[in-house]
Amino acid sequence: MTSAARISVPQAPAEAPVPAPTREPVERNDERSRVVSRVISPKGARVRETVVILSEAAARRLMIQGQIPPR
Amino acid sequence: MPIPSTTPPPGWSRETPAAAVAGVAAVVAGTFAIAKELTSATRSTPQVYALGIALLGALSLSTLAVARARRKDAKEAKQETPDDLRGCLHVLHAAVRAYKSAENPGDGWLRITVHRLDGNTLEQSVGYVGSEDGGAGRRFSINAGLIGRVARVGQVRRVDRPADMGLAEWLHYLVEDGLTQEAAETTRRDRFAFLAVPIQSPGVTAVRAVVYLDAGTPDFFDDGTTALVIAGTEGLAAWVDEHYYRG
Repeated sequence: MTSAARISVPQAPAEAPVPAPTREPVERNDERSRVVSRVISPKGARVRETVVILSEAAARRLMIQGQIPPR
Repeated sequence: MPIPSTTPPPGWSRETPAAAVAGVAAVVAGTFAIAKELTSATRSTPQVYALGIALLGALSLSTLAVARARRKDAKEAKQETPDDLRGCLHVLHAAVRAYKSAENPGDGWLRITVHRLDGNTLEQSVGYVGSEDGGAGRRFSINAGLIGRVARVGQVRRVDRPADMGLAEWLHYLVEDGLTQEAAETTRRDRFAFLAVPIQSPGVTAVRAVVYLDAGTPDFFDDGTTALVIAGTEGLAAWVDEHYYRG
């Protein structure tokens, strides 16, 4: 083995690949809102997504009743 | 008509140019006829007077036609711009500010805008209210992000980013949520709470528009604030119905 072969060049540590977030099942489900998923980030932080359940009357009020008039 | 695009229709499609051209043509034709009669060897004075009166009549009618066309165009132009929606958003922003007792929140404390559905894209109809960020006219795929999901499923949804979630993780989440890396990196980085409310049509699951809000405070949209925003959006839906669909 030559002396050159013994020299070890310090290598920069390879950057660890960022693991993909995973999703958790439903966490909470009450009358008004429902959590559909929580995305768990690689470092364990959690993004919470909530579905807000509307009453029938509120859902109706959020609707456009008129039709597109002919031009 | 539905919520109009941020791009106004071309000027030539209005009635005023057509009325003006017709009026100018009538006046030119009348003037030419009078000039011809005046230079004619067999000039008839009564005929010149008659042509003069006809020319004055044409001028008056043209002026009236142009005035009517302008009034009609102004009315249509008002319906062909989505800017009126900003009025509703200002009311909503002020209501949330009062509800949260925020005396003088800074730029971006709460941003509100409306996206209209246009095929498979969502177009931001107006610049953000509550911020100088603007953004009107930007287009997003309905297959990406919170507004895309709300446009597809027609549900009110809110997203909460944890206070301790770093930027890299957050961008990673946005890309996982369907945004391109480039789009994710151009989003405002100090956002922690998000809410999107769909406006639909009855009988079908077609979402017409999505009201989108985001805030810089974690867990900004608690149940009370969410209920207030939904109530405000009901008012906006009533305005859209009255102004654009029945107007």
